[in-house]
Amino acid sequence: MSGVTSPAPGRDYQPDRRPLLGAARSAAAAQRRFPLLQVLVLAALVLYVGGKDGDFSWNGLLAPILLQASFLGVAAAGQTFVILLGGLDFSIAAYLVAGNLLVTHLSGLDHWNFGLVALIVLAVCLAGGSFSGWVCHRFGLEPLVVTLGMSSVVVGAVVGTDTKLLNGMAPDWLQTFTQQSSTTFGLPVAPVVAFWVVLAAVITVILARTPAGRRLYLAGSGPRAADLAGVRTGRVWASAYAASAVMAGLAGVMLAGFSPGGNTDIGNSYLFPGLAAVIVGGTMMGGRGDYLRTCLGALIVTALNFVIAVLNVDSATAQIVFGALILLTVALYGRERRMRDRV
Amino acid sequence: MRRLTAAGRAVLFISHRMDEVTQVADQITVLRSGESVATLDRTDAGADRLVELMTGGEQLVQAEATAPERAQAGDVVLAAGGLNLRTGEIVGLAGLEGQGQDEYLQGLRTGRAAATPSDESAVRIEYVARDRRDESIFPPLSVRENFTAATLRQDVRGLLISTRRASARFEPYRNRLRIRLGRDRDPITTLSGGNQQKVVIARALAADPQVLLLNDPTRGIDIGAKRDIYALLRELAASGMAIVMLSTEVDEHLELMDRVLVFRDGRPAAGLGRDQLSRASIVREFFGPAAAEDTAQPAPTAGPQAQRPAPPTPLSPPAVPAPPTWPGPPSQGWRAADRAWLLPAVLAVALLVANVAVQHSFLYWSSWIVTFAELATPALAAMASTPAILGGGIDISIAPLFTMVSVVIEVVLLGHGITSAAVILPVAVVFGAAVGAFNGVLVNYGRYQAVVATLCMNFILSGFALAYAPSPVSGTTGWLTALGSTAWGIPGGLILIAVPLLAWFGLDRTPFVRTLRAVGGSETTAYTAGVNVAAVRTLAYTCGGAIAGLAGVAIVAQLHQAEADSAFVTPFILLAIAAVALGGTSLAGGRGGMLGSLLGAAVIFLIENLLAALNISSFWSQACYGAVLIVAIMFAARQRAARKALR
Repeated sequence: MSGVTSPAPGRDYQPDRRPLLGAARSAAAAQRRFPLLQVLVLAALVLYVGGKDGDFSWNGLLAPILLQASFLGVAAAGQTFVILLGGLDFSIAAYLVAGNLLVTHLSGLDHWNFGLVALIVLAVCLAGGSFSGWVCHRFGLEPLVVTLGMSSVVVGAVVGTDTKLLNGMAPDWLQTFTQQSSTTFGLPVAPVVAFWVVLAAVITVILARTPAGRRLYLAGSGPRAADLAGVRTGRVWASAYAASAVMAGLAGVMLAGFSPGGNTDIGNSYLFPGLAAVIVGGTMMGGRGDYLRTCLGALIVTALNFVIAVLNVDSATAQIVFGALILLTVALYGRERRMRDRV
Repeated sequence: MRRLTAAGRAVLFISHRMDEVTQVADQITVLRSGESVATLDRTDAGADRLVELMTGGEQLVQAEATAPERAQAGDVVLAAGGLNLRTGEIVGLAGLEGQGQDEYLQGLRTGRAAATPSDESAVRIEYVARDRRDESIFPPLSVRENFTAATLRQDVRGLLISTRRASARFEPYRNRLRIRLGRDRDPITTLSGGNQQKVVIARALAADPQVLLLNDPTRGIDIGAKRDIYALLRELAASGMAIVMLSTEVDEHLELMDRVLVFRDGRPAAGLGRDQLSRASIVREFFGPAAAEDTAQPAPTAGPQAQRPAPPTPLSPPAVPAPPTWPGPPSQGWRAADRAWLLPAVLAVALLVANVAVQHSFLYWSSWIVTFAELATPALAAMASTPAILGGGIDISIAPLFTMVSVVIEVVLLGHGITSAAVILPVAVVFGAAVGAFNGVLVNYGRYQAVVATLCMNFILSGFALAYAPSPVSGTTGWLTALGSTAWGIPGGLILIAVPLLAWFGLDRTPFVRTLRAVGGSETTAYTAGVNVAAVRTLAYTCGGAIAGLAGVAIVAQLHQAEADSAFVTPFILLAIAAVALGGTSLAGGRGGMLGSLLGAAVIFLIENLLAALNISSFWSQACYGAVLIVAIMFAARQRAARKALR
């Protein structure tokens, strides 16, 4: 629950007569509807980086953050669906690696048609993801373990089929697509950032205004009630995990252009940060949150990395600072209600 | 309660039931809309006066003294389970709790009980569930979204859901059911129980059902809402809907029903028509044997009900919603769940045989020593993750924690020439416990989500470990080397595993572990029962941390070095949790144990070992490993389900 003080359930809502408490309560209500604090945190971080560098220009500050965040944002999209549903997806790293390796190798090295390669990636992700979701729902298994197992299967199978797969480059147009120096229709944004913005809009509309999106929220916030209301929750689980895998695969394809050469470790730098982006954005287990929050979360996590970069510390200290800053950020808005308020 | 008050204690009794209140209480305080309205003495508090106070003197639908105009029962719409349900009638399901009426209603809902005419499938049936919080409402969603849940398609314009159309559809129900709310985009949890229930009924009605099934819909809601619902049901019946309603209140049957089926021993034992309904006749049928003239309704062998023995209790349906079952010790349930380690044990033995078949040297004593040394770290990591999970939390910072401990041992202690076991062991365990306690405090007092807090600790601990040991640091000492092979002729790894396992068996005899399971099973129930939930859980994280400290010792004993590289640490994070789940411990908390986690880790270790022995390329063996992991956990879940079905 993003609002720390929601009105106690089981009563008609009564406005409080004490003005200060009333103000705090309406602020909390506003925070529940719109992620105000997340925006404030993001602004503060960006201003800090800019001030430290003495560079507030578009190309020096904002464009790099947006570019880096676009990969994280796409990789974390699937995690958002799955967490809304009350699950977890630890196979994101694997699908990301699969997308990355298949593109760099088949398209870059063996010169296959890119569309064909994209179809293969899509098929792998759809098959693996929907299997995970279906199995978790049908047998009531722990998503963490199933997705962990699936990620071993996917990475093992993709790399195992061809060990030369670790070399190769993405096609030229994909590299242009993801470079900061490229422009979109004359605008000084990399095409990949524009793509992310469009994708975010599409996902937001799907989640908020289509039956499919609504079913995701229903199955996440009341699994049993959703069953009784005629929602096919098994299908929802399979679709959400499939979508999660596809988004991860997409992020892997995009990354193939950004950092040429396949890399089996590339997934791990997006798994936990992706989870962090969802959490920092304020989406929580069981139907509370949306993709816009995750986008903000991805921007915050990326900005945090920039803060760490301008602090100029070694990688060990960077990890400590990263963990501590997330704890601080979440302390502002993302904590649970008190036990005595939950009973 | 009388005995308690006679002994000089005070009882605070909260109830929605008028008869109970006037019977039990000496002083009655009426609350309405979050405010205390009045406090009365028992003598002043007639039921009428209370109702007036509760509803604020609002015009109520009068409890009919005269029979209202009842709709003529029409044609049979649903013939199932011996019930010929006609349009326009309200049929009550009565009985002591657990006499099969619940199963009967479920049977009607799913159509499993359908016996006669074949066109049953065409009948539109809607169902209002019993447990409002778990089965009916979607807590974070708005009133409107709760209303439209079953009829999403009706609002779709083009591809999108039209909010305006949803609101417009809701408006008539809002007026007809007298739902009191601010805006329909407020969360449903801002409504009172009665208004929530009205929204749930409106959801069912929106699907335009011919048959409406209700499972005790007036449970725990205020009397005003009750009256509104009665009025609505009569009106619906008058307009030709067929209604079946399960109720635990005899008065409700008397007031509302055209016909009542009384359940006994898992089946409908008697059917009473409107003219036969009286308090006495219903209660008599609760206990049977049926009077001779009540055979108008044949008692069919209907439905899929399980035969349950009638509890020899007097008529006392619970006043408040029955609390979720306490998963605590005295019941049989936890003993069965506690044997969840049996399956991973079978798996481990099977894998052991497979390992030996592939690699005969696996049986040699020397390889046993190596096996235990290698198994110690993952096993201890899994065991360290167990207490937090049992308590309904999770700690994903165990792997960086034991890495940190190994770094402390190598860099701070061995690096400075401190080699005594009397220093190193306590430092490792206390350090681990302290970090575990910090995690526990963050989660339970800082009110962080467990995944969030321990994910951050994951980053922080990895950072510290890396700062102290940017590259692997080597070093060992006499007793540590012995722990890596044998000490007193026993494999050192075995000793390291056995110590926390035995300590945990000791703890299992204390109230702590039982309380922890109870907290994991249902934190609200435990909290209501007076358990200090936060303290118990924090203690669990501390125990886990202490075991992680031992895991740090184990890794130094095995490798004679400390390594903080993320490629080395990360696999352990997920492996530890996977081992816990494989060991039969529910990641939702409450069920499972330490032995299971040990066996789960052993299973994973043996799978890896087997694949290595088979000499497959490392990537293919990774794929096999993942597949085997999924199959193993599916197998475990099937066994659990089968055992549950048996019980």
